[in-house]
Amino acid sequence: MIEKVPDPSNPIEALSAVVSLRRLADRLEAASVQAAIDQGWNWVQIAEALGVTKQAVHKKYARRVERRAT
Amino acid sequence: MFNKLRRARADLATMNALFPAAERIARDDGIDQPGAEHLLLAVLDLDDGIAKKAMTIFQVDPAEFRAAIAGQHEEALRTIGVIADDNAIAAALPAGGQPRGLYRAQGSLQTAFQHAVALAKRDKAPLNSGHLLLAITDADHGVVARSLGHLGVDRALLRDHTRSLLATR
Repeated sequence: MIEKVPDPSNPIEALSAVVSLRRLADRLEAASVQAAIDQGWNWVQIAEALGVTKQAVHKKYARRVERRAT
Repeated sequence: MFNKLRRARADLATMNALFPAAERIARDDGIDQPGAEHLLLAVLDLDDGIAKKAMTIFQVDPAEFRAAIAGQHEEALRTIGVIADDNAIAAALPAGGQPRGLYRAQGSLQTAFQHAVALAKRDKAPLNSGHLLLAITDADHGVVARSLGHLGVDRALLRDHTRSLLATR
């Protein structure tokens, strides 16, 4: 939950938070795709859950993610 | 003309070492496209050792710089009340995989790299880690500037020192 909004008169703080939120989202996405694959999800299901095309998610993760034993 | 060709060949070898390394570092961090901070970590591994030497003066090693990157992200998120368990996310990340070959990067990396190439051209020298460090640390804002600030490194002094190392080569 975002509890505070950065002071609009302080763009450095606000822009830094944006960059860090993007990084957090990227990392959370990568970790969640890995978890989904580990649990037997296919690329179509992951694409639907992320709201992107199967091609997009496959292109981004097929070479990065391998199913791990759970 | 032969010097130009030699420089171009050396630059190509540097890029072939640098870009896949930056991409691998970003992937290990769970990031799809490397930014200037990942480029800096890759630069510290380049054989000429200029950047590594410059950072050593300020007692900064790659592990500390990585920790500073994470630390400044944590601080930035805290300003908006977001607290994330970075270690738990790191443990759940994919192994990383092989670089894609077709190179893609964040704008911060592209800008820094173009600047470094211009610095090398001005010096009429092959691109080296000193040019890259100068270019990467040029921006007043962004992850690299904040991470160095987090470590208490005076960016202006670091850049002066890097220029001295370049001049004495």
